[in-house]
Amino acid sequence: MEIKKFMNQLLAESKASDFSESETYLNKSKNFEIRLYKGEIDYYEENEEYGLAFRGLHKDKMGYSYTEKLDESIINTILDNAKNNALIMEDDQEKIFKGSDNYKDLGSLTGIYEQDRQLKINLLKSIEEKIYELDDRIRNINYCIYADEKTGEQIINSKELNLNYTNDIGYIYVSVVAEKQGEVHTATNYQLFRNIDEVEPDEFSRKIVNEAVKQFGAKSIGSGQYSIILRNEVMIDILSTFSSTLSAENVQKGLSLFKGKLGEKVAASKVNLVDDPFFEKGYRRVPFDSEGTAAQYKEVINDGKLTTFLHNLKTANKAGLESTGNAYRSSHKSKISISPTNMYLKKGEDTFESLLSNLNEGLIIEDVQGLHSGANQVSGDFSLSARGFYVKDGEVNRPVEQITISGNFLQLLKDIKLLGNDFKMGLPRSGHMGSPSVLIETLDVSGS
Amino acid sequence: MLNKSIIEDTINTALNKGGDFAEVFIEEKMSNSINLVNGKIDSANTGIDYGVGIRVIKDTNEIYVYTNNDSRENLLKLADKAAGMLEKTEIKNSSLKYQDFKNTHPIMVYPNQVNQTKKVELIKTAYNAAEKYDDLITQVVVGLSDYTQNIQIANSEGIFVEDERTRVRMGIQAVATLKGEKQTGYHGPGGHMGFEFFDQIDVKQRAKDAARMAVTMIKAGHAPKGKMPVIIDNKFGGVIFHEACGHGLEATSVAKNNSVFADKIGEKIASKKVTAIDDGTVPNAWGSQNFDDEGYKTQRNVLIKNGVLQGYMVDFLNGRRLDMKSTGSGRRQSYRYAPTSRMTNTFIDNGDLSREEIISQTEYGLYAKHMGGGSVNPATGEFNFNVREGYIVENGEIKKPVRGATLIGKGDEILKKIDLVGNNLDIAEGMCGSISGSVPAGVGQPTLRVSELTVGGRGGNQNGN
Repeated sequence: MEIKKFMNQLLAESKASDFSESETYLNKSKNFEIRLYKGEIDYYEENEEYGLAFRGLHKDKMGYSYTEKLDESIINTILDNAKNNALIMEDDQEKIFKGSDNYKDLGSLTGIYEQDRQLKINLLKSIEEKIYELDDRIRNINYCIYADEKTGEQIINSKELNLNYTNDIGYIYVSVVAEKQGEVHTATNYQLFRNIDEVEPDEFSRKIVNEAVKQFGAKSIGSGQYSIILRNEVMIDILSTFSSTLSAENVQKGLSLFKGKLGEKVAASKVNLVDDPFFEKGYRRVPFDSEGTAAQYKEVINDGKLTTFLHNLKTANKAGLESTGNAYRSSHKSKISISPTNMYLKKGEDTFESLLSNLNEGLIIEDVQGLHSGANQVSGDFSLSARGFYVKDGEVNRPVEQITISGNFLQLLKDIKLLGNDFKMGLPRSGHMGSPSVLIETLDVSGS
Repeated sequence: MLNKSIIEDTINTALNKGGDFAEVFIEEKMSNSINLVNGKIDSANTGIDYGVGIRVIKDTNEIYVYTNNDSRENLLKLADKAAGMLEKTEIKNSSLKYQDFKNTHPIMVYPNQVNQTKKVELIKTAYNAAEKYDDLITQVVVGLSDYTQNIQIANSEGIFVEDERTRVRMGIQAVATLKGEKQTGYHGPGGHMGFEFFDQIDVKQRAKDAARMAVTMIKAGHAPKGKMPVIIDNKFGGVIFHEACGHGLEATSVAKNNSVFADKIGEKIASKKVTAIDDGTVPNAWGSQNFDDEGYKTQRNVLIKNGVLQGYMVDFLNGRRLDMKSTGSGRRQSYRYAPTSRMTNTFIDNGDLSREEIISQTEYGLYAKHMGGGSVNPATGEFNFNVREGYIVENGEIKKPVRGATLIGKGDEILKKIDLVGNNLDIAEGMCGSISGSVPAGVGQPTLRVSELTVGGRGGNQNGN
């Protein structure tokens, strides 16, 4: 059955089926992916998919259900499932939204999904070749991936709201294995883009090869407290892990370490954390959120002060505020929750070299692992497996591996001494995070 | 689901155009989830996943396409397009033979037949038990989820199977708060079972234990840092083998020489006390299923015997790369993923010591009673995982609880350092994420000791390093 027709029919039948308000939400995407292995296209994927969610007010409670099957025969099942779920809800002030007054026109994007596939394959091949050429010690490129996608969301509801947008984005992700006399190290690099011209294969390849081969001779280091530079990609990982603590939903449920800290100083004065749905380099560039509220730019931390939490309609209503346009569904299968859009730490003025000389003695952390288990969003504590370099007299002294860095996210924000100018956006998760490298007062390091 | 002739035609279209192997995976899955926060049901969702994945392979080059549109016309078009990416070889045709089998994971009470209010009751039983455990418990989150997944898998080798997989799982998280600090405790029991699973476990006891964990940890000091012996308890402690070694024994990483265990079959890679097994046939266990997601029967695969590497976990495509047979290890989260080799229920086998004997033989070290999750870099073997509930052992006795410990090391090294193995093997439930998505995986072991591991905590260097 045609999707639009299905959505309209579902809405119409929900009215007859004792739903006072209702909404259908469509998630649609086309994606393309290739993986190279030693010059050959080892994996090729091309898909078109959709999923449809329904939610509706039945006896004043919101009931949810979803489907990937769009037969007419399934409409009753969808409505029954939503009713059964509505009937057990106990804590619910969700409403269907009539829409905001204005939505920002984001203009048309480049449409990378439609760009010539051969150019994409050639770009990836040139990166793979360059990496092998640059250094004999690169034993293997274990992941060499190009992917792009065209995604769209559409909301149609019983309050006559009908919104949709599409967004195109591509990325390259590469991971290498380097070996010298039995000593093995790995490195990864990635980049997101809206046009493949943004990728510079030489620079991309050189960065990953350098990162891999500079680790030869790495060993652990004595346990203790060290001053630390967290590389931009590491800071991005940490921000992504703890971004959920800024959700008003977690604050209201007593699951956020920022509870009761609104208006207070929660970070060093240099720290500005922004949520920007219109950010051109951002993955989640959207005119409206998953409830249909107009998206908006906001400073979450301004000169170290916590100025707002991220809200959807339900949390805003509870707090007596307006939604900040951060309602989010990770797919048609998930309920309305909250997520940042494109959230980033504003960059500072220091070059990486200047961060190094300010560090004088300590560690540069190049990579952390174990964020899904070694970081606790509720307590803010983290203890992560890490690698990087030991710095002495403002210069890189030797590579370091097999250490952990531990601390607490709240303390980390307060301990930021300097922000670099080497801004980068990470790989998207629920939101899309960016950061420069940062110099941190101290963290606990465990090693030999 | 689809009839045999559409599936056969899809496979033959792919073979005629360029593939030397073609596969169709059809999935229809009904899922339910209910969550409770602050004592109230906070969300409930029900849904239907439906889609078809078509895979075409020539030599070791793989094309994967999937769709929600199961019309004959669309599937033949996709098969033609996918195979068109490959160079044409000689034409052959395949006919499917339906494979009958004995279901080793019978389901008694289908979750879809269970009343919503009964599910809510069960959730509240857990909530009340955890919430009333101690005044320091400030928040309890309980989730109950279940699904029934119906699949059809067919390939050009003639395989044609249909199966149904039902799983249920409950997650209980308790939060304790003291002086503005928070700590959590967690249990996540689940099975390849229907609702009869909840008659077999004591939900109240699990909930209380999650609360006990949170309260113990909020009162605990920081874990020490440095190298020391570590005793890892049974059940979910098996995550250590899963991360540190299991991923490196998947053909996915072995075939492209990305594993520290590549080319080591027949070699001694572990202490002779270590025998490790991946077994997808354990009746109704969390990571079990009759067939893998490529339509091959799951097996009991002995990976390591008395320290010597016996074999890998192999899927069809990586089997071609390695010149090995499938071990029934091809798995995927859904039709959205091409399958690859993954673990099912993976565990270290029993030794002969009791937990108490292992603790009493330890002069100083960390006792990891409950493990959190972890991850590994298979190419270097470097792993990390976190300890949810830990204690300091001194002079053969458990002394005091410690929080925030992370364990790091290298998989090939830790295997050789396992020096004491207990006799209390048990398996717990986890979700394992990798290139073919997130799949249910059982992890297990008896209590065991690693003679030396790096512990990353925020406390002092307690053993003088």
